[in-house]
Amino acid sequence: MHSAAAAVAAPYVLSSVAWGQPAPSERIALGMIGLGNMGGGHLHSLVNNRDFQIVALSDVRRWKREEARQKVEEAYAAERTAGTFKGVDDYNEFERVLERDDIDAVLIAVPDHWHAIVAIAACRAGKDVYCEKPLSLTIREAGEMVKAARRYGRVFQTGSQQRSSANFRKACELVRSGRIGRLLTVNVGIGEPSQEKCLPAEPIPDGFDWDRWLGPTPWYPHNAERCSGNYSGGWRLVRDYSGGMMTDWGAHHFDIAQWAMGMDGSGPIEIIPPNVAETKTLTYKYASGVSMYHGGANGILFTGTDGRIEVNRGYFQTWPEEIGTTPLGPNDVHLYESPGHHQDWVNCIRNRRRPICDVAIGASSATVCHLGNIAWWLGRTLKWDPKQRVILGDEAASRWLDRPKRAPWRL
Amino acid sequence: MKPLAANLLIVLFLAAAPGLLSASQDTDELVAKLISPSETDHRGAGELQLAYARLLDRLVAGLGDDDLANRAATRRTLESICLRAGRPGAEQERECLCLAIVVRLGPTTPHAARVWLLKQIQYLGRHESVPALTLLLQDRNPQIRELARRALQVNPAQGAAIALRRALDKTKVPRERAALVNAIGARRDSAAVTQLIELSRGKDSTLATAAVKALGDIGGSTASQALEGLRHDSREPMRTVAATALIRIADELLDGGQRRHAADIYSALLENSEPVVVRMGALRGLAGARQMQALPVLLSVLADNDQPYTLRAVAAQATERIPGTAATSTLTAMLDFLSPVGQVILIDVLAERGDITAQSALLRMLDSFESTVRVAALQALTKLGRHDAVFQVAQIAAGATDDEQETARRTLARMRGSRIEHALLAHLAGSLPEVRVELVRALAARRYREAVPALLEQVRDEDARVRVAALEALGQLADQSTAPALVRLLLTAEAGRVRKAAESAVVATCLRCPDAEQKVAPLLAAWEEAAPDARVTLVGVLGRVGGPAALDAIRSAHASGDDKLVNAAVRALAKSEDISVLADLRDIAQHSDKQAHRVLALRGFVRLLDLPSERTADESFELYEAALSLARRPEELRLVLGGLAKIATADALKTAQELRATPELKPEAELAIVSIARLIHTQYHQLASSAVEAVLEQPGNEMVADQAREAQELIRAAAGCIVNWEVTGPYYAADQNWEYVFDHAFAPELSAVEVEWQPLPATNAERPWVFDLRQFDKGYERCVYLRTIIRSAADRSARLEIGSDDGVKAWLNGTLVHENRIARGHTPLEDHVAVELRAGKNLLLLKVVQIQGDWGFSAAIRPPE
Repeated sequence: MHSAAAAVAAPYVLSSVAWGQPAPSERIALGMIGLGNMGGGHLHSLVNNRDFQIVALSDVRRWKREEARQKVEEAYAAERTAGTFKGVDDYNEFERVLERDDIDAVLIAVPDHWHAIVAIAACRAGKDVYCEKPLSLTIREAGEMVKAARRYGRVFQTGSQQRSSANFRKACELVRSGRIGRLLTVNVGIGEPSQEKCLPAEPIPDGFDWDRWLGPTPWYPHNAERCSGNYSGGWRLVRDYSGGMMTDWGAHHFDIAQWAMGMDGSGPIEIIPPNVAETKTLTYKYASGVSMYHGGANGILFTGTDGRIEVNRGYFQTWPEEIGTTPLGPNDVHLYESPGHHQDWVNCIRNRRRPICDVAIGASSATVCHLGNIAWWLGRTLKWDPKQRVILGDEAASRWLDRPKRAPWRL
Repeated sequence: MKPLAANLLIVLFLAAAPGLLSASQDTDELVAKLISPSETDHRGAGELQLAYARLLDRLVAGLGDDDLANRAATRRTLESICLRAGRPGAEQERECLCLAIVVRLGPTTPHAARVWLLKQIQYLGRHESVPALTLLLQDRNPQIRELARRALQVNPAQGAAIALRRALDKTKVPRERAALVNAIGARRDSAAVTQLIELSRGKDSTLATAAVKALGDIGGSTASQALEGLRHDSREPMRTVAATALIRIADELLDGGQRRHAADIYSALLENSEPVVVRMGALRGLAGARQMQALPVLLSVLADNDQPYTLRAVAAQATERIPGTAATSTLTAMLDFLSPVGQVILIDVLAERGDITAQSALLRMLDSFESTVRVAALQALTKLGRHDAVFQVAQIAAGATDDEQETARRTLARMRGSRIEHALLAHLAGSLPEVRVELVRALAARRYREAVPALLEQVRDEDARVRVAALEALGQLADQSTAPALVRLLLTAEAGRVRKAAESAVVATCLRCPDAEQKVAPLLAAWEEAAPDARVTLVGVLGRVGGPAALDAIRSAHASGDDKLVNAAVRALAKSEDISVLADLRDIAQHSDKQAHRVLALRGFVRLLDLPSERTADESFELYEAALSLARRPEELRLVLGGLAKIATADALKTAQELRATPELKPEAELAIVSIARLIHTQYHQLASSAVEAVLEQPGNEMVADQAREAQELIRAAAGCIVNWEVTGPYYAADQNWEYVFDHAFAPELSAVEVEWQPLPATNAERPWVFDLRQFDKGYERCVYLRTIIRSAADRSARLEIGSDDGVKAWLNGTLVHENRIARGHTPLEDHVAVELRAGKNLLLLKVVQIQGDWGFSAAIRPPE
């Protein structure tokens, strides 16, 4: 975990003499698992990144694999001419990617219900990991992912890329340096939880491994909406596969809130669902006395005794204005400066440091999101022990900390 | 609570008797009562069971309804009842509800209803649900068997474990056997160990692997021994599966405080023959289990250059589990015996430990022959460095280059501790000049305002580098109370770098004054006692600070009659960026008896005219006309023509055409004509076109001809181009890439949704139909919508031309007429589409998608091809 004072400078580059193996000049052999909306976006970016050589692709949709393979081959056309292109292979089964000894790292951009299984298997196979956010589908999965990354010595970047944005870092540094005085409340503007959906059976498209798409989740007949990556619907809004906007956006905005509160690796102690008692909105209570509310902000709004800071993508405002314009001093809190989410991962693969959004950070942020969902779904207040990671005094609610997996899948 | 059979009898009995809830109640009323605390908290089991039974009888059909909306609504209703019954302290309600559910899980219940009821039991069921779930493990439908298995896996009753073990013996389907093994493992059912050991030796590799992993879940000595045996007796991949299962067992033992047992397992897995990931887990575990005693093993791996780099890194990082200064001391002592690679790894680890006792070792590493080691040590000192490290870091900052120097400077700026600044100040005395420069820079970077007095002393240093650094630091730190001293320094500084630094420091200090009227007070105060030469300097500084008081002082200097002062004042006015001096400059240019002043003033006047302003083009033209009247020499006229060329009015074009008649000005005037024509051709197409053609008839030189031809082409090409647009956006979705953005119908595509439109400002003065959308929004993976009205005198065919970076869609009068899903740079008007225009108004809507990099578009309507 990064302590507040880590303030590491821009990464240095080891000379090849000092470095030995692997030389930083070597390209990282990358396998990409999941080639849908997010995976396609990463592919678009990484295929032109000289730090990586994409050598394997995996998706349960044949046409996605073919599109991706074509894109990679086009991008590497010059290397093919030069005779240095060793080819890219595509697989229906992600296990085939992990079996390959020549792959250093994997980028996991499958739907949420697959994150933990693939990521833990990747750690066990000795691959460094970039896993899309939210880190996991359940709270237990998140904890197991941390254990696996540590146990097998992996560099594990969670895809909550707002941590690599200067605006968000600055907001957190200002809050943690006391520029708005004592922090009182945090408002987080995101959407609502996923729901159960009743959807009709539809024919399975040719080339689509439906059973594998479902993976560890309960079996249902195919339906295009159930597995669509469409943001206004699709699997993100179905409870079997995702926590909805609470986890999808929460993994960004709750993540920043946690960062600003210095709560990485920890979390709230009480979660109150909407419309319970005097609370109209989902509320998190922290041991520090800070209350965090769902809604009421353009992004994240921090309110302290001496001012406010609101931050979102492309937006940063403080009240009063001087809070944002007065430079930080040496004894203020300087947080880890990431050179970009992909680049930070690359640097850490090479120097084995923990990246800006290390798995443990992703886990605690995802846990905040999941706890909000559980309280929301159950309609009752939860008491949470952030150290032991258990719900206190509510056996039925505790069963929502994890979900049994459909065979043969397990963590 | 009574066992299942007895409870069923109660249900049957109560069903025939008048109960809490009358038969006439509708379902909504029943639901309301069952989720109401006042209704359920004090009711007996019999009443509750009857109520739940009655409710479920009404809901089951809905749960299996072909009408999916009704099915979903019924599901939500049942779930709300279940969630309510599962709350803490409502055991009776929970059990009654489960009993009511389990008797409806049989095959006579619609399949979809069974699925949903089983989902509820998964979260709600305990001992009362086990018998029914056990039966369902043998159901004909595999989905039901799977859901029953899931429900049993998380059911806390001991009977659930027994049911799963028995089912494992009976089930023949391989995938379901693996599922049962997984469930047993997840329950950590130690009674199943023997059964699992047997399966782990079986021929079915999937089942054997599942069994080995389950043994890892369960742990205990029997499981450990079995796994140890498998690790030795089996082949890959089973060996590694067994080894990783053992690591997990050891981790659990360690978490449970059984350090010795855990350490034994870890130690056995450290052999070089084990896979690297297994050794990593073992090393990390050993650190937790053996603490200080593990350090020799960890350090021997770290020091072994033949070991994989990632393993060496893990060995070092595992020391984070061994807290305390004793461990830090061992680690720092090891530093000297490592290769540079090992040193860098260990330095990182020491930085993360945060133990300041490592500082002296880090300082030692600053003497390494390998720069990467020195840089790593400098970075670590950012966190661990204290005041006594300051001097050594400053020496490196003074002597190093490139990354190392930058890192040292950053370290000095960021080191934490209350005594850092005192150390920086203390070392100012007696250090070499180049070190003093770095100390001064660090004080400025740390914004240590208390350093101002010491910096004022450094300003008098013998070494000019130190004086410059100190003045630059004062420029960053000093407030206006220091300005008088800085002004004095300025007035005595030697010419060159030092005076420039002093002048900048004075300007910065004055500008920092929050009271606008007081900004120049220190300068005006010095004015009174300043010698004539010093006043000349002050006039220059007053000009840079600006403001009404400064301008008044400069004007009075101009009126003084002192040649040097007048000269300085003219120069200050000519450099000013304050629009209010336009009149002064015009006056000097018109009336000064010194040509040099007239020229300076005219240049300043024209330069000011060229700055962004809120003037209209016509107002600017009037001022340029005035400038032309003041220009006396050809070079001055050329200067004015250069500015006039940017004025987009027909009058400006006419003036340039008139000047073309002056032979000395012909090329410049023609360039101005061409330039103005490019700016106005969308408004005055014919005028611009004729002007350019006239230039082309007899161009002054080849460059003019080239530019005129380009302009002619542009003007021709611009016919039909659309320059007036309204824009809305950007539209995007978190975590969605451009393909989603391209496909998704955002609000402007939906006629029912109102959006806010605003005029799109021109972004390209020469080609106003070419728009750079990056000036509108800098983000990636998004889109904007643009709309415009095209008027047509009659129904007619036309050609819509669109260029875009990146993808684009176009709708004409609500009909999609073009889409191009593409990542590309902007080639104006690249895509051609045949369209039909209606008589009157036609609404053209564009969606332009941004992937990354540049973002823009262009469009035109022209006759059909």
